[in-house]
Amino acid sequence: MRLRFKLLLKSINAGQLAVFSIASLIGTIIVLLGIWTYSEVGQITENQNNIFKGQYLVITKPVSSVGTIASLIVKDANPSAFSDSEIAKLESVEGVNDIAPFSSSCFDVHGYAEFIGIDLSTKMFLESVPDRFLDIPLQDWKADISDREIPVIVPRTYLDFYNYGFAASNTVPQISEGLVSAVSLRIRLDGNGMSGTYSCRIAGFSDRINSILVPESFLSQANRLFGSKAEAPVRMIVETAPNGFSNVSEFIADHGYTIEGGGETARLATVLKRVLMAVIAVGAIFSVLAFVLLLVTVMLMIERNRAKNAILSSLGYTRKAIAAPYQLLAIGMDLVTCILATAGALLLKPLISSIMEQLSPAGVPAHNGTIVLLAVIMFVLSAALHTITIFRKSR
Amino acid sequence: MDRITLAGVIPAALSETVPGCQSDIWGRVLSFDKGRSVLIRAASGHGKTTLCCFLSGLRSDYSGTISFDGRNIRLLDDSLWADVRCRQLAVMYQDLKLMDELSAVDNILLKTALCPDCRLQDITDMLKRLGIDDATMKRPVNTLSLGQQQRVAFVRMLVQPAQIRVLDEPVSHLDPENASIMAAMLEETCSKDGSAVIVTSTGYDLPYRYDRTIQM
Repeated sequence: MRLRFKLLLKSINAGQLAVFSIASLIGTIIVLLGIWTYSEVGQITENQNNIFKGQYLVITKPVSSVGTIASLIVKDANPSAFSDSEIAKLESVEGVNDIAPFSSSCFDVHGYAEFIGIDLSTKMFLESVPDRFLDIPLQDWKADISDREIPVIVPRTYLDFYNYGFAASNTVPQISEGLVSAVSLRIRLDGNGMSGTYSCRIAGFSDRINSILVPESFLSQANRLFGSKAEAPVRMIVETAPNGFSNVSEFIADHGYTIEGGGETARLATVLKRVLMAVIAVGAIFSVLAFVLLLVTVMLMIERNRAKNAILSSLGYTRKAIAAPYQLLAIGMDLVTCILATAGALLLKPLISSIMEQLSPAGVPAHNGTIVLLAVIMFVLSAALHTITIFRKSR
Repeated sequence: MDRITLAGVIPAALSETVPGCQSDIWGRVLSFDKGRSVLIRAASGHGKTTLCCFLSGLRSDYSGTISFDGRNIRLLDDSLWADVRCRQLAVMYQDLKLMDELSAVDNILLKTALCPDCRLQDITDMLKRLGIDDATMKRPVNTLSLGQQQRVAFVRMLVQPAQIRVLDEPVSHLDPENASIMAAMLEETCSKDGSAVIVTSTGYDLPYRYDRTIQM
């Protein structure tokens, strides 16, 4: 092998190999970091508060002047309500993972709050959605109409309104999430000539749903007991598939619906995902070009050495033995490039992590296993393809 | 391998002219047996080198059949040919087939890497016997004279184990003295391993004891 490699070294084109190394290095680093980012993003999606997971969208119909006038004239008409056929259409849109209507209270609800001597009361409403759409822990998230205390979920923005709006302007203490249990909340439900009073326990603050939620079972029982005729839903909650937002948003725009909050985030997520895909594609193109360049370089060397290879064959060397030094050269180049690219990617990773952390409050996992595993896979693939192709061409 | 048989072999390039020409090889049935020596003599252009290329499997543009111990050589695959060239058939080609960038010794080591029975000391002894000194044998062969290159190719052919040795115009660039040394070395080797010898010549022959001379 030493003598055959000595012969090979005399025909090496250092310039071509240098171009290969640079192109391959750049391409591999981009691919490693791109795929790593994409895969780590997949792990981050376990956390709800990020922009990369399938999105939860609250969909409504816009309120128009004509619709308002129509609902005044015809008492039962609600132009903002979703019909069964509209819901069925939404369900069938590609990219919709799950969908459910908001259930609303169809009876009178009064809320009372008391905190360090401040009393608040207001007429309000209650809603519910299936548990699978909630973004808080679900333990103790159940209630029966006969219970005296029920759990409620409040939008986080309500707490922010109180702390940074009401409390600041009225010079009263702010409330942390931990202290919120100190607030005494009660609701009174009235309808069908009956009434019921319940203590409320704040089970959590939702970033996803901008409404006061009670357990679905409780609301359905309360509607039966206190309510009048159930109305068609006016808000729908939709969970999109991880890459389904663009399709769903297109459908929503085409049908004149609107997305309550979250839409901008989802659009940003879609754009970022596409940018990430484009970056990976550019890296992949670099890598493929580098792969082909090395292959062409080795092929040219085989062609230049055709006479020498013929002599080796006449001496008794098999085709496999003749191809071996070229294969070793290609594998060696692949290995060196992969090692350097892995080192480069690991050096650049903190930079990407810091950007990712701004998009995902939960942070980015710090382990390097994905990059190393990807590098090994790329090396094995590249080396195997080079080995096979060189053998086939070394006749 | 004990026998090479040619049966009606005619090179494609000569297929038009051979039927009418006088040749003891083309179109005939003949054998080369282990332990025997044959001189094939012909003027240039009669196909001596072509025959050597047919026997070593480098060319197959002929009609008829060449067989090793009854086995048609057209049926040998890459690995079988490699085995034949390593252990059974040693050829000294007319164009020598040396690697220009390698030294004389390295050219021979390139061969012995496949049949590692031969020691480096044996190689250098043989080269010295043929008048190639230590300094010369370490130089790239493209800096050697044609005669020196011919002797390097001869040693490379001699160091490998074989049952049949083919030498294509082995002394065309050598003086009678070196030709005699070469013949003596060949004689010593063949008497040890009993290999057959097939030598071609245009008239200036390797001075060897031939059992048969064939006019091509």
